[in-house]
Amino acid sequence: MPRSGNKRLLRAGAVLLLCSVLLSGCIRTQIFDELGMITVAGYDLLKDGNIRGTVVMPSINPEAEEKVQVMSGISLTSKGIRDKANLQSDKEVLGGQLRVAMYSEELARKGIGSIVDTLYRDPSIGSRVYLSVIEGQTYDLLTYKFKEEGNIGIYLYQLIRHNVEDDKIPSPTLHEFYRSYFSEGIDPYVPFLERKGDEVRIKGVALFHKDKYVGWIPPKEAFHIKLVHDAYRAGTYETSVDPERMGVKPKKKNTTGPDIQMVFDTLSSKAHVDIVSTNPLTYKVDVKVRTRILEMSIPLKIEQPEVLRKMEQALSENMKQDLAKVVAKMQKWEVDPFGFGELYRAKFRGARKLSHDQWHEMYRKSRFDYNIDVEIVRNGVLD
Amino acid sequence: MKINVQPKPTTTIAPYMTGFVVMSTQIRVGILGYQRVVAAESGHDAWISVAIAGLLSHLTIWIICRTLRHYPSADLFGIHRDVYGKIIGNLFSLLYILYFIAMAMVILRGYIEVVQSWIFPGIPIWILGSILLFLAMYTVLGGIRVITGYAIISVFITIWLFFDLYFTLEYARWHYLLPVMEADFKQLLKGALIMAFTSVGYEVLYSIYPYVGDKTRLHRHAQWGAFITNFIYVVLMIISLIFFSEGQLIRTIWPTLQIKTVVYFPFLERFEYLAISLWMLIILPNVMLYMWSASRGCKRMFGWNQKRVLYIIGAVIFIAMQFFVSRHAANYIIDRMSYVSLYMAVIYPYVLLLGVLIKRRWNRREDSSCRDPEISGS
Repeated sequence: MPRSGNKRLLRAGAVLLLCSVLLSGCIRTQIFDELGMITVAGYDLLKDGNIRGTVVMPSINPEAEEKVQVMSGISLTSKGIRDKANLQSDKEVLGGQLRVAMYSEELARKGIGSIVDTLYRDPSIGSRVYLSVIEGQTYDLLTYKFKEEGNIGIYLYQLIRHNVEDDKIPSPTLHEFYRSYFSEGIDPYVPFLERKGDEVRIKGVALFHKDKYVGWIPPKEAFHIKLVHDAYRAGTYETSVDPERMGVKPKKKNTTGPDIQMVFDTLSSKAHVDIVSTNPLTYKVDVKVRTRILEMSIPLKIEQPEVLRKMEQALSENMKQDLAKVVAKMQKWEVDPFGFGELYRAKFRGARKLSHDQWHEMYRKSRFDYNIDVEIVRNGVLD
Repeated sequence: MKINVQPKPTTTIAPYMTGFVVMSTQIRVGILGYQRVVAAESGHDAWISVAIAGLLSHLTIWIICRTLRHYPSADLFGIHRDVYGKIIGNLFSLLYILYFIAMAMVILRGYIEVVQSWIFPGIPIWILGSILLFLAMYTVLGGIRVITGYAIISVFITIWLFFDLYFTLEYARWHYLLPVMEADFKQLLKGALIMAFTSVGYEVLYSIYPYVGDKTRLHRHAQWGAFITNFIYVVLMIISLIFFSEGQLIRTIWPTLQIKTVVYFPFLERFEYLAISLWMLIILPNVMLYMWSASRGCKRMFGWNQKRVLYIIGAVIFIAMQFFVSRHAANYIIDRMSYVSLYMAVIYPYVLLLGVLIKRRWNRREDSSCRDPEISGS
């Protein structure tokens, strides 16, 4: 093709490019100083059925006394709340930096599917946002003047993040919640927070049936969810053992001493769940845990192999009992955070069409066999 | 119109470049969202559908190359003339030109839709459309060598975007893939046919064939390009299936981008924004090759000035894009085009090969002196 044509087009292109450079000034700019970045949003259910949303943005004004700006609005939808927050703010309120979304217990009980959906639908919000349920009203928690936390949004984010990374609680990201919500064979779970004095603490794990909050369990029980569901690590496990089982003679005759308290840290855990029979539906849960001893309340002769064996046995036994208790509780509550339903779907052909209700019908009647194999591989630097 | 064309040696491309051309035309906007439509048909066995579609594309490329081998240096328009005669041949060529133009339009519109949904909800179609079209037309004016050069650069600049899939393994639930082969054969095949729109693009081989320097090595390189594409498609499909639950995947419009929302670096919190911006480099070679093929076809058939035709095609695409404003309308035309492309790029090459074979036999019978039709054609 002749060069002159290139030149003419180049000229036209240069004009076009110039136009686009100039016109780009017409696109709405977003200047950082004029933006309010929401870091945490809380949602409460009011008595009249409306939702009260509370959002927290860090204040970047150095003269401001408070580190954060808190705004709240009442509306039927979460985007309506954002509009109301905009009316209270000197800055444009944006959700791109959202780290934590919180829901009050009452709202969660009613179902948070639609509110979670708006978060997931919004492309400006990443899917690594943490969800949580809190005891009481989120408004009270977010407007409370914490002395030490500074920016409450980042504080809450770090609180959840380090506990997830240290394997204390299962990961509650928006993506994982939404994934479980749209899977028929597993129910979502998020951390359960409360304010205690001047601190916020993770009280446990809130469990859902579909998108409806059912109840919460302490971290000790949540450990078992991680044990069965996550393949990597399950965190620390604290247990108490009858001293006689460990071969410790009581000092006085005919009395039993206090239980031995032991704390173990799981180095790795591997769960294998298999379905051994379908009528009645029976699961065989095989868990292999490698642990190390962190703490014992009385010194035991762990250099002796038989003591170690006994300890392993006692630990397996206790873990098995605890796990059975937790599973029975989950069955009673009709929540399946373990994903037993997904395993059922993965095992049987034609189970794809199983609905959530059908699965829970089966789940209620399911039986479980446990086989927990604990191996103590380290005992610290002391014998 | 001559059936065979002999471009000057200075305008030809090396055969290995066709591998890049095939790869860069196969990967475009469709890769952002194919998982969902395939999974809607064949569920968690969707990766098998994708693999079947991949095999189908290998087979189709083989068929295309077989067809082209019968000619020393012809393109699709020449073959049409040779096989069907003047009137019907031109009709088919015209249909194909329209198809090329429509494909370029759909790709551009699809990309603009992604930008509008993710980054700039308020940006009008015409701004992005005119900038992208200008870039595409400017490169097309440089000729096929510049276009293929651009395609190669775009492959190297963007191929690393797929390595971020490593981060998603943290969220993997491998049992989502079980039980394998739960979907029946019909569902798998249906999924594979829907997948076909995502993996077409190799039909540009028809129009670049005369420009390939060493034609004997064309086939091997084209297959390599397609293999890499299919490998990426299958891996991405498997990752999507273990990353999303099935219900979630079917609701997610662009799973490939949604996957990238969990990628996180301390210096870059939202990886998908970078990916969307870089995706422009991925879609541009497609638009260029389709526009080049369409304008080339007009030149070959009617002897028009290719440059002028290119401007007209650009204007047509620009105007046509304005009719599909909403996501609904854009989706509609992309859906329609996926069916059209199934016929044009996947089924039609088989028909054409049959036509070429019949024509050859016919020639041989008619010509008692057994003249080689390859020579008689040129």
